[in-house]
Order: sequence, then structure tokens, then C-alpha cells
Amino acid sequence: MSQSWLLAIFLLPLLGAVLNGAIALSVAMARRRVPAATAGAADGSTHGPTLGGPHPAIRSVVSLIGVLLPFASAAIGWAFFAQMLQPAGSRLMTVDLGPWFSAGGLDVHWSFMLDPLSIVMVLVVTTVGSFIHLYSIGYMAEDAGYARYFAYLNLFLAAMLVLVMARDLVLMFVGWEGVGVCSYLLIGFWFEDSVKATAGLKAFVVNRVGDFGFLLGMFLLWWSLVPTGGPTFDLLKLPGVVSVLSGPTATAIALLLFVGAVGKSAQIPLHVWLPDAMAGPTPVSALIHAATMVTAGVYMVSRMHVIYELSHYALPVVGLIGGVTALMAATVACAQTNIKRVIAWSTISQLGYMFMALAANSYGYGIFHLVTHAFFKGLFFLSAGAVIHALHGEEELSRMGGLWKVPQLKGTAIAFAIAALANAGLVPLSGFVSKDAIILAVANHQMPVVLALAWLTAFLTAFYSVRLLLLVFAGDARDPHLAETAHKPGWSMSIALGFLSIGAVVVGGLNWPAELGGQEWFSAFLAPVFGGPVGAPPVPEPHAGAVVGITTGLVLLGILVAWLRYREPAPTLGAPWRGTRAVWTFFWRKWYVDELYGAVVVRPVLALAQGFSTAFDSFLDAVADAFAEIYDRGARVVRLIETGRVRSYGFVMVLGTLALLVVAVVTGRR
Amino acid sequence: MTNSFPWLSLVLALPLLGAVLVPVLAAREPRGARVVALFSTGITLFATILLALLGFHLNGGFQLQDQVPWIPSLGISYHVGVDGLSMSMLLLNALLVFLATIASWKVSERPVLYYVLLLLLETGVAGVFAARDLVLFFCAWELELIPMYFLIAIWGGARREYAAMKFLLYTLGGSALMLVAFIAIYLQARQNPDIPFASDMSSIFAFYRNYWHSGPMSWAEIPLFLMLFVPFAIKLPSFPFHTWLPDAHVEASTPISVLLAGILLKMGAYGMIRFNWGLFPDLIHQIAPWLIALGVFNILYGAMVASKQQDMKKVIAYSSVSHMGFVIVGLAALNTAGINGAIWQMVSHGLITAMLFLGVGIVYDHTHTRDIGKLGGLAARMPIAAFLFVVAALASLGLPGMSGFLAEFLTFVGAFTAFPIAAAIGAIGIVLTAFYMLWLVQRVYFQGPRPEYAEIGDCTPREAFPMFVLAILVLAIGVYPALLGNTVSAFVHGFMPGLGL
Repeated sequence: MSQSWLLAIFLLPLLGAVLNGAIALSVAMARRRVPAATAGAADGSTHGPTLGGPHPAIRSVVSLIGVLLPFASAAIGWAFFAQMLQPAGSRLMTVDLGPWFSAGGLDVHWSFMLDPLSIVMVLVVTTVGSFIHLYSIGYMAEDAGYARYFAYLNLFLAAMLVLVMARDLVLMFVGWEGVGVCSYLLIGFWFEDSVKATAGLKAFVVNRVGDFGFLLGMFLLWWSLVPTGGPTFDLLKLPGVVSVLSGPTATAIALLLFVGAVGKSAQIPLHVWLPDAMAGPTPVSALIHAATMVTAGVYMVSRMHVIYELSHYALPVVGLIGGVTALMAATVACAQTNIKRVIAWSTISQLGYMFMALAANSYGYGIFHLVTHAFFKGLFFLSAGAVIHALHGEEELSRMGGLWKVPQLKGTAIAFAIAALANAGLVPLSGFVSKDAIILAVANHQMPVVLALAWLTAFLTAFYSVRLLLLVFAGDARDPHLAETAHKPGWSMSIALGFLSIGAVVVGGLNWPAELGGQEWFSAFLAPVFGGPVGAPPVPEPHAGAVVGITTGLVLLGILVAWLRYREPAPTLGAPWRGTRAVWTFFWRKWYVDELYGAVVVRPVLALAQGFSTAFDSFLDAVADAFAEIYDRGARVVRLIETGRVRSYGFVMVLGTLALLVVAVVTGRR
Repeated sequence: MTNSFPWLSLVLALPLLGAVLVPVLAAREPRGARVVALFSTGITLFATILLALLGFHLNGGFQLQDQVPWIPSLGISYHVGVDGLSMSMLLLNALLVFLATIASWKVSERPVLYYVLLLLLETGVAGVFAARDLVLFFCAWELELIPMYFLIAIWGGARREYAAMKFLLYTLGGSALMLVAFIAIYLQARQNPDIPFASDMSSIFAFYRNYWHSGPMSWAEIPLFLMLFVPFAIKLPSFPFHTWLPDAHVEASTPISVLLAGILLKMGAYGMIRFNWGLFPDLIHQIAPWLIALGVFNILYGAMVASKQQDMKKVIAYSSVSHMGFVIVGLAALNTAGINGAIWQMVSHGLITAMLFLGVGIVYDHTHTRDIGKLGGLAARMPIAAFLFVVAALASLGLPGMSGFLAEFLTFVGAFTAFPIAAAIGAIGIVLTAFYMLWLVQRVYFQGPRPEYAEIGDCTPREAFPMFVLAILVLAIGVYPALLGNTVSAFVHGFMPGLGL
């Protein structure tokens, strides 16, 4: 297969976006002519789908385009992967479509690549992505915006693939912003609900704060490389040239780029957008806000790892942010009462683990957790989506419970349980393998604080995962009527749940830690990208058994505590134990970070803007008007020669100025 | 003096010819004026594109020059010519006037006068970009002013006379300063016997560069610089001379707003590049930090004020203040990337802001209001208009793959190389822009549908066409900037040595 076929990987979803976009616009135009069609748009439910799906024929065409093209893209991705596995096969493929723009030494090309890291990302994005597209056929079937939904979702896939296949940092930024826009459009997909639209806006603006850091990091990188004579953003050339950077410069660049990663991957202090992003349709939460886009920060830091390694401080900061985020998000997840919010906070927490891995120089483990997480967290969201869909859009845990007894939801319950337990890190599910590897790496790397954070988080993760599982399925239904009317997921949703369930169980086998007697096949595959000993089996940790033992003990303890507290017939949602109410409220209110930002950032900026616009700008205007007034008074004095018509006024002015010119010239000639 | 056929002068004369033909051909049927105007602006656009493709070479320098003595005794000549910068601006002008003519299709009040003024405006603006003689430049600058005044004052909104007068007084105030500066420059040049045409811009620039270089910086430079800077800063517009712009936009009709923001503001930037940067290369190096500070302030101030406006047009008007701040920042970076970025921003802002104003015009024509508080939920009723407006908003906030990103990226790469801290502060603008643009989109198009707009229709093909053309261009340039990029970089390549770089 020729290398230029790699372009098809992102061009196919892009084609899908264009075709479905055209269909969406045509449908919208046709619908507009029938005013009654949209009358029932906002039915006030927390679940958004607009009543009345598209014409079945249109829906079929949209589904075919929207789902087959991503699967075709995945197939091409797997073909390239197979090629890479050939003993003689090259592990690097590139395509250069020619220059994009160049100025002042900057020379950016439309150039793409596949190396082991990129292909791993491509496979996750296209494979998990395709199944989530398939799932959407059932989930969105009744939605009036069906074509628009698939257009956005396909566009997202294309942008995400550009992000991971870009050979140039500026081109990576194209994908980076592209996924941000798709995320914005999909969070606010049901834009007629102003809460959902606001959530989209918040996501984009908070991400822009991260992008601000990303851009400054790029500028600083460029500026620092100018003295070398060959500044470049080419990701394949960068490792060769950055070695000239001094420690402090590398630290500054690394941390600025990390600000971008913190925004995209929802780490403290820019994590506030992700929970609100749950306003989008649940498959979107699975694809964008769990499996793929939010991991872009992890990918970017891994891709730029050479710069991080030049600095003594950058990676420790990454690890600390990751660790604190993981713990904080896990505490919040324990107290949430909305099914999607629990999983959203869990995602933030798991992303924290990935950054801990990077900080321990174990990029392979970080990326591996990214892969397993795509499966088990994608599954978590999709099975939660199946519950929400079955309950006609209900997301509040207060109206769930007892669903295990609903025969239509048995399959969903099993998938949900697999996802919850994999998320909890139970042996031997995929979540256990990748998380234990990270904790081992952190222990090996002598990072006691991060290790403590990771352990605490492991305990809490097990607790909230099982709490959620029990609150949804255990005991008696808190809303018997809702439970009675629950329906089975459709075929497309079931296939996706089945595939991801298998994945969530088995993908761990790809990288069973060497300490536990496994073969780290995945790390070995990525080793050429990260070079050196990184990713290869680390020096055997003398206490590896103890570390794994403690982790597993904490996980089991978390599961046990949750089981004891939430197994009874009517588990309660409030503070689980006497005397924990204050701390539970603190967790439930997300540590009051939104309130803090409102008081410290949003309101002051808006007040300043208000001051500028009502006070300052009006003042300037008043000054100008005062000048005009003076001019006007003066003009009245010469009213005799003034006709009052601006027409002649302007004309005379032009003539006058010309005359003045002539006079001046003549006198100047002396 | 003309060596070959005066192609450039012919292209410049086309809209003027149209302005003559409109009253002649449409004497019996005033509604026919728009057809004549459409043909005139269409042919002008076509001719300008042909000129750029066939007559213009990328080897830099001024080309297609026509020069004939005008007032020989005073050393004044009719002299026109184009370089990469002028050519880009002429293309933008021809395109936007053509699209504005389409957007003006429904003008029913005194159509003959309207289209005559529109075509005169096109001539005046083109003259500014092509003039190579001080007197000619000044005449063209003033020629643009008068049609614009009437286009606001006759076809504008409720407070049109106030707004038109404000526009006129601000610009004339600037013109007066410019005139004094021109006279001073002219008199100085005239004392030099080596200069055949004392008001010829090429000769003057060459003369002044040597003149300033020959000695230590003269204090006379600073007042002269300011007399040339203020008129262009008013036109740009830059803080604190920008308050005429929101009023003018609010009162002007949609097509006039398109031209005002799309092309007239570029005259300010163009004047700065030609005169402030071209005539005072040494001084510019010394005051570059102040200019960067001014540009950064414009970016943030414009964005902040835009976020608190209640009138859709005012949001876009203040966004122009913010976006034209990027031009100052890029120019003041005094390096190739920055100046490329600034010129990209001129072109890109012309296209994007035109789209935004067209979008506002569609909303206003269908709902009869621009008050954000009274709007909402329009996307359900006008999906095509919403789609086009969202594209424009995304372009405006600098989404990669569209023209605005290129401009902002190059501007900041350039500025960061020269003034890292100031550039970093200015880059906060990308956060603010995202906020006010998307917030505008949300309050107008998103949220629940309002009953009062239950019956409104989507934009017609005629309304959508100009926005659609601009969207294609914004994307095409964003993805494949070489479409125009070689013209821009050819100019910058020739311009840098003049700055001593």
C-alpha cells in the first residue's frame, strides 16, 4: 500500500462530514418550511433529543455515510499497522502535500506521518470511534438533528486524526483547534437549551486559555531555536535540534505547552469545562470527552517528550498536577448524583494517571492507559447512555436503582459492571493492568508524593465506581414507573457495547507488566518513538510485589466499602456516613472551583469590560462631541457664508484644502 | 511617460465609467441602476483579477506604472502604480464592492444616486491604493470621503446625520493634519533639484530615507510623523480615535458597513505602511515598543468593549478595533513574519468582517432588530444564515484552516521574536475573541426559539451568495494561502530593505 493512502485515514471522515453536512442543511431548509415541525423542540426534559427523527430514507443514507466511512478509515489504519509489524516494514511513513505557509523563516507544510505512536492513536480513534458512531445510530435515531450530528461527529474524527498524524506542530494545532470546535458544536448540540449552549461556550473558552499557553510555548520554542539557524516546527526534526535549549528555556517551553495539555485534558486548574460538557449527547461524551479528544494533551506531551526531558522541573510538575487532579476529581466523583457527571469526573481522574505515567518517564505506560481507558471509559459512557436511553433521557441517580431486576437491561448491566470494575482497576481487567503499571513506574521513579496520591486515588476510584454501579442497578427501583417502561438497547448499541466490553476485558494483555511475569509488547512497539530505556521493562523494582499488593488491597478495600454502604435495598444519595455531610457537600460542589473562578476571574473581567465600555468609551465619545460642539459654535459665527448643506460643505472643504496646497506651494517657492 | 498601454489606469477608470453610465442608462427606469452597477462592479472585479494574474509580476517593486505630468510647474503628476500590497488591496476593494452591490439589491430610495456614489467610492478607494503621487493620493483620500458621507447620511438609520457628520469630521480632522505634513514633505523635496517631480512618492521616499540617514535623528521628525500617524490611526481606527466607528456602523446600511469595515479601515493600515513605516524607518525602530503597546491595547480594549455591547453591529465594530490592533502589532514587530502577518490580517479581516456584517444584515432584514437582548433561537428558523454566521465567527476567532489564523499566527510569531512580553499579553486576545464571538452567536442564534420569530424565513440565495463567496475565500486562503501569499510576500520582501532590515 502506497504511503499516500494514509491521507485517506482522515480524508474519509472529512468526506463524511461534508456529505452529511450538506444533507443536514438541506433537511434543515426543508423542515423550516413546516413551522409546526420544530414546535415541540424544547420539551423540558434533561435529555435533549428533539422529537421526530428524519425521514427513514434520509436516515439510512446518513447512517451509511456516517458509519461506513469511519470503519473504512479504521480498516486502512489497521492495514498500515499490519505493514508496520512486518519485520522489514518501515515504522515511519510520511506524506508531504506541499507548503502551507512560509514567512520569516517559518516553513509549514501540509505533511502527515505515521509512526508507532501515531498509529496507536489512529487505531484507538478510528476503531473505538467507529463503534461509537455505530452506537449513535440507535441512540440518536429519534433526533431531528440526525444528519447534523453525524456531520459533526465525522468532522471531529477527521480533526482528531489530523491532530495525531500531523508531522508539524502548527499542523497539530489545526487538529487541536478543530477537535475543540467539534467539541463545542457537539456539547451545544441541543442548542435550544441555553444551559447546554453555555456549556459548549465554556468548554471552548476554557480550552482557549490552554491554547494561549500552547501558542506561547510554540512561539518561545521558535524564538529559542532562531539562534541555531534552523528553527523548525517539524516534529521529526525537532528532537535533533532542541538539544541546544538551556534548562530554564526548556522548562518554560515545556510548561507552556503543558498549559495547552491541561486545557485539553481537563487537568487542574482548567478542568472545569469537562463536567459541563456532559450536556452533549452521551455517545459524544464517550468519544470526545473520554476516549479521544481529552487524551490529546497526553499525546502532545508524549510527542514533545524530548523537550520535557531537557528540563529538571517540567516532568515533576506534570506528575504533581496529574496526581492532584486525579485525587481531587476522584473525591468529586464520589459525591455526584448525576450518572454522567460521575463518569466525567472519573475521566478527569484517569487522565491524571496518564500524566503521572509521563512524569515517571514511562510514556509507553501513559499511552497504554490511554488505550485501555478508551475502551473501558468509552464502555462506561455507552452503557450509561444505554441506561439513560432506556429511561427516556433520565440522568439523575435519584430516579434509578434496581435496574438489575429489569430483564431488558441485563446486557446493559453486564457491560456497565465490566466498565465499572475495569475503571476500579480490578484484577485482571484492562484498567488494572495499565493502572498498576503506572503505579509501579511511579514507585520505581522515586516519586513518593505522587505515589501517595496515586494510591489514594486508586482506593477512591474503586469506591465511586462500585457506588455508581450499585446506585444504578442494586436494590429496589427508586422510580418504579420509570424502571417498568425501560426498553432494550437497539442492535447498533448492543454491538458497540459488546465490542467495547470484550476490549475492556482483554486489551490489558497487550502490556502485562514485566514485574508480574508478563510481556510488555505494547511498550516495546512504542520504544522507537521514545528511545533509550524508556518504555522498555524498567529495572526490576525490588518491592514490585509489595507495590502491586498494596494497590490491589486498596482497590479491594474500596470495592468492599462501597459494597457495604450501597448494597442495601434503597441506597441513599446523600452523605454516606454520619458526620461526613460537610465534606460530602464540599465534594458535591466540586470544591467550589466554579464559584471561585466566577468571583476571581469571570466577574472582574466582565466588570472591567463594563467599565471600559460604559465609562471609558463613552468618555472618549463625549470628548469628541465636545470638540464638535466647539466647532459647531464656531461655524455659527460664519453662518453668513454657510448654506447649511453638508453637500456644499464637503465640496468646499476639498476645494479649500487644494487651494491651501497651491498657496503653500507658491509661497514655498520663493 | 507611459511605456505601454495604461492597463492600470483603465481598470481604475472602470468604476468611474460606471458612475457616468448609471444615470445615463437608468434615466428612464431607476430600478435599472442596480443592473448597471452590478455590471460595472463585476467587470471591474474581473478586470482587476485579470490584471493581477496577467499583468502583475512577483518580482517585487512597483509595476504597471502610468505617469503623465499634471501640473508640471509644481512638479505634480498623475502617477499610479501597484506593488504586492496595493494589488492585494485593489483585489479586496473590487471584490467587496461587487458583493456590496449584490447586498444592495433591495435599495429602493434614490437608487441612481446610491449606485453612483457606490461607484465613486470604489474609484476613490482604488485611487488611494494605486496613487504614487502625494497630491493624487490626497485627492483620492478625499474623494472616498464624500460618497461615504452621503451613503451613511441618506441611506442610514435613525441617527444617520449625526453618525455621518462624526465620520466626516474625524476623517477631515485627520486629512487636515495629513495635508500639512504633505506640504512640509513636498516643500522639503522641492528644494532638491535632483527630484523631477517633487510630489512623486517614489522619489520622495528615496530622498527621505537618505535624508534621515544622513544625520542624527531630527526632532522635526516627530511632529511630522504624528501628523501622518494620527489620520491613519483615525481611519484604522485605533484607540483613542475609534469612537466614530461604532456610530457609523450602527447607522450605515449593511452594504455600507461591509465596505466601511472591509476596505475603508484598510486605508488606515495602508497609509501607515506607506508613510509612517516608509518615510520614517529610523524613527519607527525607536518607537516600536510604543507602537506594540498601542496595538496590544487595541486588541484587548476592543475585545473587552465588544463583549459588553447590546447591538450586534457594535460587537462587530469593536471587534474591528481589536483585529486591526493585530495589524499595528505585526507592523511594529519590524520583522518578516510580523509584517507578513499584518498584511494577511488586512486581507483576512476585510473578508471576515464583511461576512460578519452581511450576517448581521440578514438578521436585521428578517427580524427588524439588532438588539441582542431581543434576539435568540434564530438557528432553528434560519439554518443557512446561522451556518454562515458561525463560519464567520469561527474565522474571526482565528480558527486554523481559515485566513484569520494565518494572520494572527504570523503576527504573533513576529511580535514574540521582537517583544515577547507584549506579544504574550496581546495573545490574551485569542481568549477574549473566542468569548465575545461565541457569546454573540449563542445569544442570537442559539437558546430557545422565540415566538415572535416563528414565521421568519431563512436567507434567500441572493442574501447567502456574498457570504458564501467570502466563506469559500476565507477557507481557500486559510488552507492554501499561496493563492495570495506570493503577492504579499513579494511586497514584504521588497519592503524590508527600506526599513533597514
